[in-house]
This record gives sequence, C-alpha cells and structure tokens, in this order.
Amino acid sequence: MKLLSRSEEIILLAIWKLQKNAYGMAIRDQVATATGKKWSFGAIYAPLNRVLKKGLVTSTEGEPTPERGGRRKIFYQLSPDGKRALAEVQKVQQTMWAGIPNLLPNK
Amino acid sequence: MRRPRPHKLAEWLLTKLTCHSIRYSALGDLEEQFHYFAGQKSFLFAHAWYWLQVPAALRSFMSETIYWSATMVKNYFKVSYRGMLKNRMPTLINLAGLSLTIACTIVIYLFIDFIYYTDDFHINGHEIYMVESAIESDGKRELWGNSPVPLAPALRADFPQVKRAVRAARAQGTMRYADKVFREGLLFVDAEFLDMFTFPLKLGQKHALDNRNALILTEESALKYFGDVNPVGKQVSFTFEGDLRETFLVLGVLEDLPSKASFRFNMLAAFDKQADLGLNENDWSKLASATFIQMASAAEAELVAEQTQHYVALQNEADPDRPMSGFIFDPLLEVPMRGLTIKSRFTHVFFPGAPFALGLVAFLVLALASFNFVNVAIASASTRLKEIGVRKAIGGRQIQIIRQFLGESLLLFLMAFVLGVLMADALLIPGLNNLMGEGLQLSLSYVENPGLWLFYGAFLLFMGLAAGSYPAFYISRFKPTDIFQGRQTIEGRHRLRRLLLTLQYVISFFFIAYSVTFRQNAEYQRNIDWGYGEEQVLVVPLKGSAFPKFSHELTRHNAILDVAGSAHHIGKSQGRALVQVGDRKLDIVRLDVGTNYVEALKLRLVQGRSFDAELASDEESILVNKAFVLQTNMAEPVGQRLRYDNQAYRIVGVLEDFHYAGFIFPVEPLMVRLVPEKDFRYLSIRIAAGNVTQTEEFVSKTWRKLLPDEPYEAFFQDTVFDDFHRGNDLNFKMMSFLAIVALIISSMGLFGLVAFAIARRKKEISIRKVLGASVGNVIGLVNKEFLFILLVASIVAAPISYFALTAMLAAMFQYHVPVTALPLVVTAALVVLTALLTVFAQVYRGANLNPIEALRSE
Repeated sequence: MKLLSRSEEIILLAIWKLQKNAYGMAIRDQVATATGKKWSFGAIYAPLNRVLKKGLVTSTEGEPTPERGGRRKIFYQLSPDGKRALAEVQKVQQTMWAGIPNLLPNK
Repeated sequence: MRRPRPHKLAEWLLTKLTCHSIRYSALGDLEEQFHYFAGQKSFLFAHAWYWLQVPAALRSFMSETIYWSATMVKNYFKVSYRGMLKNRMPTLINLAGLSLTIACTIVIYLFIDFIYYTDDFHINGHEIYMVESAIESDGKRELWGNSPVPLAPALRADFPQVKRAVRAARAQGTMRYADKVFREGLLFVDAEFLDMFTFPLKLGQKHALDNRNALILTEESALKYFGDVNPVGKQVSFTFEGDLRETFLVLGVLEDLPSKASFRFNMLAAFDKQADLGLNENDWSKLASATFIQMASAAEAELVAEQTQHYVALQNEADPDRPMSGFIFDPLLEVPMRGLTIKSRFTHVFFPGAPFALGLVAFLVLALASFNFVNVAIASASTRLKEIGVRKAIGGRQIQIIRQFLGESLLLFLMAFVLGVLMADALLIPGLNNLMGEGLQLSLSYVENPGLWLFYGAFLLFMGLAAGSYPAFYISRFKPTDIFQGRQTIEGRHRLRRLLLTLQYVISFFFIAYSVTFRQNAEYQRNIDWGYGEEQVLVVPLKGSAFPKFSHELTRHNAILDVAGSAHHIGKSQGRALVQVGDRKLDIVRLDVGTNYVEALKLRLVQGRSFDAELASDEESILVNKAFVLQTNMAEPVGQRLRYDNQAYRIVGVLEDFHYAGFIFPVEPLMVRLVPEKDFRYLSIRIAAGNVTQTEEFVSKTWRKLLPDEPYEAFFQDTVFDDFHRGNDLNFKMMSFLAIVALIISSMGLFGLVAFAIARRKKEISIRKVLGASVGNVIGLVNKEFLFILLVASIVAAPISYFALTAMLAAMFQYHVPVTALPLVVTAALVVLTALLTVFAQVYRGANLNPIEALRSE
C-alpha cells in the first residue's frame, strides 16, 4: 500500500485526536496549533477529500448551528483502513528514526 | 438582536465558487471563522477576511468547473460530430444551403453598406455641399450638377461662413510620357481640393496645385506611365481637344482612391491652368463640372443659399438661354441616395429603392434557409429522441439540453459562416466586381470596413439563436418517460412545418418567376430594333484635327462605304440643349455630327431631307426625331424654326426614333445639328458586308501610319450597348443563382417532410395495401399532401409575383416585355417537377413496401 502523504497523515492524526469533534474548523485549528502555521481551508479540504475518497475516513452530519448560518457540521471519523494506514506510517517512522539522537533542543 | 452575517454577495459568490462536494461544510466553516474573527477582532476585519476568501476560492473553482464544462462541451462536440457523420447527406446539404445564403447575404450587406456609406471617408464629408443649378424648362424645374465657373470664388469672397469653395472640371485628352500614349480624363480642381476632400497623398505636397502646371496622379495612373520610377518632378505632355498641347509637371501621387468615392479621377491639375486653354474665369456663362463648398452647418448653408439670387441674375444675364431660378446646396453625403434626377451629375448615384430591394432579397433568402434549418432540425430530432431521453434520465436538466441544441445550431452556422465568407470572398465578390466593372468595387476589407465584424457577430448570433431556438426549446421539453414508452412523437408540430414549407415555395416561386421574366426581357431587349443600322459600322475615337487626312485616306478603300465624323456619338455620348420653340422652352437631347453621319449610321429619315454637304446654309439646319414632333405637336415640322444658344435653326427633316442611350429611359425629343470638323471626336466607318475583318485591319494600319502618336481605340457600333446587356446578364445570373439556391433549399425541406410523413404512415400504408390498395393509390395518397402545399404556394405566389415583377420592370426599364402568364406557368411547372423528382424515389419505395415488414412487430 502506498504511504500517506505528510498532509494526509497530519489530517488523519488531527481527526483521531479530535475524536467526536472532528469537523473542518476544528481540524484546521488543531493542525494550525500543531504546526504553528496558518492553514487555509483549501489546504485542509484538499487532503481531506483525498482521504475521504480513499475510504480512510467516513463522514456524518451534525445538527445545524446558527453560527454556521444554519448549516450542519460535517464530522469525520477514521475508518479501520485509516487506522491501518496510520499504523503503517508509524511503523516506517519508528524504523527510520531508530538510532537517531533527539534533534530537538532541550528546553 | 440579529446575529451579524457575512455579506450576502460574498456568500453568494462563494456558494458559486466552491466545488460541489465540499460546498456545504466549507461555507459553514467559513461562516464560523467569520464569527470567531468578529468576536476576537472586529466586524470590519471579519468582513474583510470573508471577502478575501472569494478570490482565494477562484483558483480551485477554475480548475474544477473548466474541467467539467470542457468535458461536457467535448461530449456535445462528439455527439454533434457523430450526428453530422451519421446524417452526412442532410448535413452537407444544410451546410451548402446555409453557406450559400450567407455568402449572398454578405455580398448584399457590402452592397448596402457601399450605397449608404459612399463618401463617408472624407473627414469633412458632413460639411461639404454640392452646388446644383435649378433651371426652369418647359414649366418643370430641373436640377443640374454643373454650375458657373465664377461662382466658387464669388462665394468665398462674399460669405465668411463659406470655409472652402472648390471647383472641378473634367477634361479629355491624350497624355504622353516617353513612348507611353493613352487617352485620359483629367480633373481640373482648385488648390484647396485636397484640403476639402480626404484623398491622402503618397508622394508630394497637398498644395502642389498652387503651381498651375502641377499634375497629381493616382497611384494607378502613376504606375501606368512610370512603372516603379518615382514620377515626382517628371514632365508629361497633355493634348486637349482642339489640339492644344500643354506641359505638366508631376508634383504628387495620391494613394489609390477608396472604393467608396462617389466620383473618381485619374489625375488632378490646377483649375487656373484652364486659362491657358482659353477659359475666361470671369465669364458666368462658362460652366464647371461641379462646385463644392464647405460650411460648418446645414443652417448656415441654407442661409447662404438664400442669398445667392444676385449670382443667379449674373448667370442669367451672361447666358439668357439657360434661365436659372436658383442655386441649391446639396449635402455631399446625401447626393448618391437621391440625386438620380440631377442632370450632368458629377457624382455617381443609386436607385433610391436599391437598399430596400437588396435588403428584402437578403431577408427572403435567409428566411428560406432558416425555415429549412428549423424543419431539418425538428425532423432529425425524431431520430435523437432516445439520446434526449437518456440525457434527461441521468440528470441532464432542460437548460442543458437547450444549451446543447443551441450550441449545435451555432456550430453548424459557424461552419456555414466560414464557408460562406470564403465563398463570398473567393467567388461571389470577384465575380460580381468583374461583371459590374469600374465604379462599383466591393471588397471584404476589414480595415476599411470595421462594421463588417459587428455585422458578422450580430448575424451569426442572431441566425444561430433564432433558427436554433425553436427546435432547442421544443425538443428539450420532452419527458423521458414519454420518450421511452414511445408516446412522444413529433406529430403535433406538423402544421408549422407545412406552413414553413409553403412559405419557402412562395419565395422560391418568386425568385424563379423573376429569373424567367428577366431572361425573357433581356432577350427582348437584345432583339429590340435600335432604330438605325448599327451593324458593320466601325467607330474610331479621334481628335478633330486628325479627321481630314484620316478620313480622306479611308475613303480610298473600296469596302468602305461611308465615313462620317461627329462630336457626339449614338450610344456613347450626347449633349443636351435648351431650345426655344415658339414661346416654349424645351430641354432636349442634342447630337452634334458631321454631314455624312446620318448616312453612315443609316438613321431612318421619315420626312424631309438629310444634311447636304454642298449646302453652306445647312449649318443652320437641324434634324429632329419623332419624339420631338410628338412633344411639340407640330403638324408640319419640316421648315419650322427654333432657337438654341442664341442662334436660329430650321428643321429640314424628321428621323425615326432611335435608341441613343440604352433602354432604361424613354427616347427623348432630340435634335441633330452639324458642327465643324475641328469639334469631331468620333469617326464612323460603314463597311461593306463580308469585308469587315480585312477592312478593320486596313483602318488600324492606316491609323498607325498617319497618327502614330495617338491611341487607336476602335470599336464596332453594335457593341455600344454591351454594357447594358451585361447589366441584364448580371441581373439574370444573380437572380437565377438565387432561384437555384432557393429551389434547392425548398426541395430539401420537402424531402424531409415526405420522408417523415412516410415513416409516420408506414402502418397505415401497410394496412391499406393489405386491404387491397394499389401502389398507385398509395402514391396518390402520399403525394396529395405535398401537392396541396405546392398548389397553395403557387396560388399565393403567382399574383404576388405578377404584380411585383410588373412594378419592377416598369421601374427599371422604359422598354420591356409585359409580364405574361407564360413565366408563371413555366415557374409552376418547374417547381412541381423538381418537387416530384425530389420525392419520387421515397414515395415509390414507401408505396412498394412489403406490408409484412411494417406490421410484423404487432
């Protein structure tokens, strides 16, 4: 199976962390805090659409809220395939990083 | 308090721009972010941010929609292309018909444009007025294009409102440079001519004509004499009538004249130069070919025109035989459209009805092609019902189907249009220019005529949409369920199709009747008696001074029966004369000739005698024609007197009416008088039968021997009306071309209708046959329907054609055939015959169908 791209990986991780509250805005905030960069909605939705098409996530509709102009939130959850894909990435990461000293400066 | 929301327009734009799959949630996200910013920062910031999302969303929108639209358009193209390949014959015929009509329309547009925009290239065009002289003749007021020579300087001196006043006078002669000798027309103009009119110079100075020996050539004539050499500074000699030789200095070259110029010339010379040729510029009885003045407004022109009465008095005093009543300032731009009645016109003019007639023809032809397009489109839709059903069933909306069909018709029109433009440019326009000769040259010049683009665009859009919209809206309405259950048929619109077909045949009928009638008329005019012996007469244009020795040399040849000189010539030129008969003033035609002219051209004398060379008193004798006798009511014309040009004349003979200028205008009252040899410009030679070729050779040899410096431009008298007949031929060719186009297109419509009718009535026909109907019965049954259409079309078209053609012939020619039943019958026969031929194969096949084939399915 092809490895996930970095942005897809980040999106999937954000969805996992947000659990029941994983919708567009929240994902974007999560990703922005983690990376310390601004992400445009396009930058979120493009990989999100990709993983949705690959079947790595599923979506459900929430209740309409007034701050969204009466629109529903779309919540995303990881599918088993998504979890498997993340596991794959994790395995590769760990193998590759093994033996490399901590590069982050100590606080 | 209501919760603040993002701006409606921005929200709407984003709705349109975000891609379909994420539109819903993305918009919600954006709005949430908006509220977040509104709370954290400010409304202004939130609004600004929200607005900025619009351009940000553009990129993905472009890639998304363009991709999908392109996919859809690609599909439309593919379907259209396959459809065209599958129905190759109807497509080809439709394309051919449409492109033909489009080519015709483009040419007609150019024609109308040419007529309406004659002279509009002059920057001062709207300020220029042509001075016309109003003359009372026999109780009628006539307008003449010429005006007294001193008028322009007087107007310029007396009225400060007159910005410029320019005279123009035409002169003929022979120009020579090195070994190049040609007969030329020269235009004498005042120095301001090039300031008033916009004829750009290629070489030299605008005010070159201040030098009275200056000559300005057009590019064309410069090329003729000098080739590639720069002509500026070169000397040429010009020999005028009466053997006056002058030397000119070429000081400028004009760019070739625009095709839309209402008057043309080959070269310009200074007006003052005419003093050297004996013109007294202060003589009010001398006339210039035209006087143009430039004034700021029409109101001023009117004001000045009112104050010209003392000039009228001056002119009438100088020339009492030409009693003027006033000067009229006619706007230059309007002269071509309404100057038809002006005599001695300087500019060329058009029939006032021409643009309307041409427009009508264009409209009819286009209507024909469009009707057909609609009929073919509806008929072909029956084979595409399934496609439409499938499109709709899998989610195609009505607007998409409409768009598809409109797009298809636009595509077909675009293809037809490209073909039509090519056809017009490569075939019709050169052909037409060739047929029409000088004076009217059409061209598809996009630089000179930017309006053409506008016309193209408007035309294409209008035609494509107008002709395409009916089928598009009609077909797109069908319900897929009806289509698939076979309940949807196209019967309901049958009446409209029949109506359109009838109209098509009415139009075709008229075009064919027009061609047949005008062919008949051309034949009649070709065989009309010219009123004199036009055969076996060779005419040589020459100068008066060359006449004596040349004619003397010719009379020695024994095949030459008569030699005569003349200043005017039948079919080529004639003068006019205001004569006083008793107390009446008459404006009549004047022919100035030499003694032998009547005999050489075999003019028929019905009363009195011809001129007698032996009688010196014959200088005061004249011959008149029958029309003159009729108009003056003379009981005994021979011996009567009349005055012309301050001189008394006596009528010695009456001639049979003869056609001196074609068949468009009636033969007017005419007088023939003698003029001295020095005024001669033509030499007519009557040759004995059977010796024409050798004698012509002898004449040209003699010419080269005696007059090597002069151009030899002989022609046979029976060719003088060739231009007229060419005009008739042109008319016939153009209209029969249109008639064929019309007939082809109508036949296509009929073909479609019959094919459709047979397909629809297959079962009915089969049942009839099973019950004992013969093939003949069935053929009759099917033919009945379209024979009825043809009958109605003929009944409607015949009287329309009859009255229209009668009116047209009467408006165009004085001498023409009456419209008889014959062309109408021929036309009806032709229409029915082509129609029968068109449908025969189909009807026959339909009638011979084995009933089992059609009935088996049930």
